[in-house]
Amino acid sequence: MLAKFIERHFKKIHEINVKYAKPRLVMSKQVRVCLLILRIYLLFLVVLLLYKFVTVLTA
Amino acid sequence: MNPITKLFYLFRRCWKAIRLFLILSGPGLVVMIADNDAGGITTYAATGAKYGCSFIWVLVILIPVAYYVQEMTVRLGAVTKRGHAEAIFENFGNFWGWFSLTDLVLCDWLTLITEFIGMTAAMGIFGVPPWITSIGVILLMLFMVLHGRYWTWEKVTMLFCLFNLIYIPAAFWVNPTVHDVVHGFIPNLPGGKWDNQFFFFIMANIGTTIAPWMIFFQQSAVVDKGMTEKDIPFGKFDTLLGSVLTVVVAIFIIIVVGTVLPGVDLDDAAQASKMLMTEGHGHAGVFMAIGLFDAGLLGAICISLASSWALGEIFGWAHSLNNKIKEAPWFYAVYLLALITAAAVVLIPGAPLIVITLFVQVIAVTLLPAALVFLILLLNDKELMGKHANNLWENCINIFIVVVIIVLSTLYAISTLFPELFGQ
Repeated sequence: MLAKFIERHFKKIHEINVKYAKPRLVMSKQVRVCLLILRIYLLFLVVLLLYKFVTVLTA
Repeated sequence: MNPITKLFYLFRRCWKAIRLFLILSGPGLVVMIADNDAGGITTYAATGAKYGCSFIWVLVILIPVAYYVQEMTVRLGAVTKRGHAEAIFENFGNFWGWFSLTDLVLCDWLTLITEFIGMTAAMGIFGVPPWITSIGVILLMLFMVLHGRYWTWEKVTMLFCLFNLIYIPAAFWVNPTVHDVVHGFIPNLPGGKWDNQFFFFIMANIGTTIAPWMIFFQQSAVVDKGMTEKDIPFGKFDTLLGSVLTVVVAIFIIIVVGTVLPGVDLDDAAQASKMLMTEGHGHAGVFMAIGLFDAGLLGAICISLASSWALGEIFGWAHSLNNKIKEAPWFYAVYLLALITAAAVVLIPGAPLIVITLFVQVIAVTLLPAALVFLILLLNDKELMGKHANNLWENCINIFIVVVIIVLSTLYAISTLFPELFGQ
């Protein structure tokens, strides 16, 4: 029963990935720049969190 | 037409508009008042104790900040008939879709825990054990959605919004001086100088003004309510009224705490409530505790729904409050599961609740910039928004506000991770 439940949801996630594979918004230069800045921002936050995690562990 | 007939028709037109507004109002008022959640009340109480009425002018600035961000969700929801999660998936693809969805669900769940912390602390003041508060809140919130009607849920929630105004009589009870309150509206620097602590409190207050769940919640609520393009002006007014009310409540909290507990370092709003009682302001303390419970409840009502709506939109489940439990089992299961697990965490002895409270800020700030930038990009898509797309003036204001929010909330999250940077 659990296996079926997981299988059904993996299938659903696959369907969602297929459904939204191609973004509808036209990827103009401005949109690309915004998305790139967002990725860099996220990376910055992840690095900060990792740094905090390491300093807490080594303290 | 004689003047009396003209006046009669004018009155009829106004009355019709008021009645229409009463029908269409809701999402903006609810989301804005729920913004003053348990965490928000703690921030305002700590700010009031630190700076008193002299901080009021900063809060007034938050009215346009909150309004301009949230009114974009009204337009986007009414035009696209889609929630924010679905809009991100559809327009920006899988990566940003899954990132936003998982981050939102995690952030909502952690925030929900903080709401339960606030509610149990508030009821603890009246001697109610945390487990009774938690079970009572879960049953109440289950009862609110059982009717299977959005309208009923919204009007019951608005009734709870009224309790949020309890800080207003509390402020009159503590007899603040008119001079201090009026002076607070004039921009000033406490002590005549700008310092790290003052900057920290500005960041904290702006950081609590816009949370990711608010964007997702209001857009989904607009869709669930069935608002259309012609309802946008009413939706905007609803949002404006909500943003004014949320700041009015915040100002009154600052007046109460700033008048009775000036210079006290407060850790939470429940502590402020207890101290008000011991300082001989029993009624104000009781009102503060009731307000804190109500704030946590309103936050919990909205936050749990924001996750359920977002998951329902993406997984294709029936996800409307107009559906009965049988018709939308997954929607209500997620709603209930979030509530039960969040309440359970608070009841675990020795659970790291302070760490959770701090961690919420950091998780929220990973999602907020993305949600805000997507909002601006979508509102600039003429093909999608038509005549409701942002014009130049709206773009200038919105981009400025979004940049300020992103910078300040990021600095606030950094100050949470590294308190020594801001002398905390």
